[in-house]
Amino acid sequence: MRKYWLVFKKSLKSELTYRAAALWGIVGAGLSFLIQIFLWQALLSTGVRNDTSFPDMLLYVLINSLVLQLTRANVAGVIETAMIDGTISMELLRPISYKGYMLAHTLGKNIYGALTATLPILLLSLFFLSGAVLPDLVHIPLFLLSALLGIALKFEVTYLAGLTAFWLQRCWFIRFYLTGLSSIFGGTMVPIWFYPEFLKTLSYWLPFRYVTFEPINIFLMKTSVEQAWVSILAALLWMIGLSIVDKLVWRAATKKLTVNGG
Amino acid sequence: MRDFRRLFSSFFKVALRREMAYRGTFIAGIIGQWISYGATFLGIYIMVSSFDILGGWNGSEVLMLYGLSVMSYAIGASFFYNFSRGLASRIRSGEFDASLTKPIHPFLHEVFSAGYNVGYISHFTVSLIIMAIALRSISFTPTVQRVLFLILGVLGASLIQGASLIAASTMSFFTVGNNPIADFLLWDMKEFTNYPITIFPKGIQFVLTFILPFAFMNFYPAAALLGKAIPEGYPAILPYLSPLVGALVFALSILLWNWGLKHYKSTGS
Repeated sequence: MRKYWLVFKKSLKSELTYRAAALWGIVGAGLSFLIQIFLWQALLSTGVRNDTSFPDMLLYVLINSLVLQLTRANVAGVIETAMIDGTISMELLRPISYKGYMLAHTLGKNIYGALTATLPILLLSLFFLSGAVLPDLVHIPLFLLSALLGIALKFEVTYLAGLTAFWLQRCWFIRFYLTGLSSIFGGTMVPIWFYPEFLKTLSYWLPFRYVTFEPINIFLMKTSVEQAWVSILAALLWMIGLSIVDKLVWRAATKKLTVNGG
Repeated sequence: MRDFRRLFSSFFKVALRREMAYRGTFIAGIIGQWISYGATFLGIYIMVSSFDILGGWNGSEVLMLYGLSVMSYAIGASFFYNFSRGLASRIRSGEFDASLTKPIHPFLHEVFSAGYNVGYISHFTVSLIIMAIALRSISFTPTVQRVLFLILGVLGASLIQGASLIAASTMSFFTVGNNPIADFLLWDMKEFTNYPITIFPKGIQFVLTFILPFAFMNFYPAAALLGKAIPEGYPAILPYLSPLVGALVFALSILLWNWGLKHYKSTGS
């Protein structure tokens, strides 16, 4: 465990040197959040839908942005570069699991940016959240559990997709597939409860809705306690299934890996 | 002018061959962009149509805004993206200094040798298809004037997109580190124009019209085409000015770039 903590701290520290980048990250996140505020104010003022309140949507956007920032990772890109310059052979020699290393590295890299970008918009949204209904004492632990699982699941999917880098010549495009699919089937842009039926049904067959959509539903108490356990169980099953797959893929990848020089 | 054409076409062929060297990657990349941009189009449509209307625009009409933005980005970025993103690293490595010794203007040499980016064909096709579907669903009747207006609007918008890429690259003359101002200009501000600007407060409408005129990229031409209201009190001629504004900011961005070049000191590498 201490080894992973070291990796986490090292990648956090190297992020801390980019003060200007963090500052502009805050500006960018603030502007995006402002757009969402005006957008949902305009949409909700039409009065067409009464299943969604303005504080609901603010919390929706807030939790989504925090989780997505925290799990943003370019595993394929890292593997690609490491294969081209040969450092992959060094990384494989380390007495540490590559997946654990990637996870610690990703979290360390993202946590600073995610927190600095979320804190200002959290403060900003306090002005608008007066009418918000906060979750009760049963839903809070359920939310935390499902959000943690969501973060783990998002990493798992990104990691598994990233492993395909071992077989591809170039892989800058993998993240476009991931963001596209998680936006459609994970409801990261529009809540799935607005979706037409067939898309809603389809989303149950993929892991993406368990990353942020289900945790948010629990936080907003749109999910009953029994349903919450069902969604947590589904996320857990996805985790287990994908972990088995990634072990098999990893074994095949390291078997075929040839490093040219380096 | 003939030399110019010959130069461009030979640089273009080199760029196309470079992309086609990895054919599988090229195609996988295009499909990936379709999925990722398609997801945003789908999201905007579902969002607006669940409420019927956003600031007076229905779902299909709002799609036109993002459609124009993506299409003009495809055109502008296919010429200037490689140039804009590559300049900092070419300055750092010293390759840029070679451009200063060529018998054509360094700006032209940089743009040509950075190469035309063929990959933006994916942005272009997805936005073309979505806009065609959107216009059909609001039973838009294409007349010669309207189609001509649309083409001129896209050209003006492409000039605005090109201008923001050129302006963003100017920073590279002053700092060799990463360029957060570029991200701000190219992504954060443009996000406002995915929706009708009339839903935003007056100050933001003013900035998007007169300071960083991204509204001329899609909002004003679309408003003219679809007969939508523009911000209260603004001159009624604004929706027709996109080509003019495009030419103006494009010229300004080149002046800015040349000003940056004048202050450039080689890294000596």
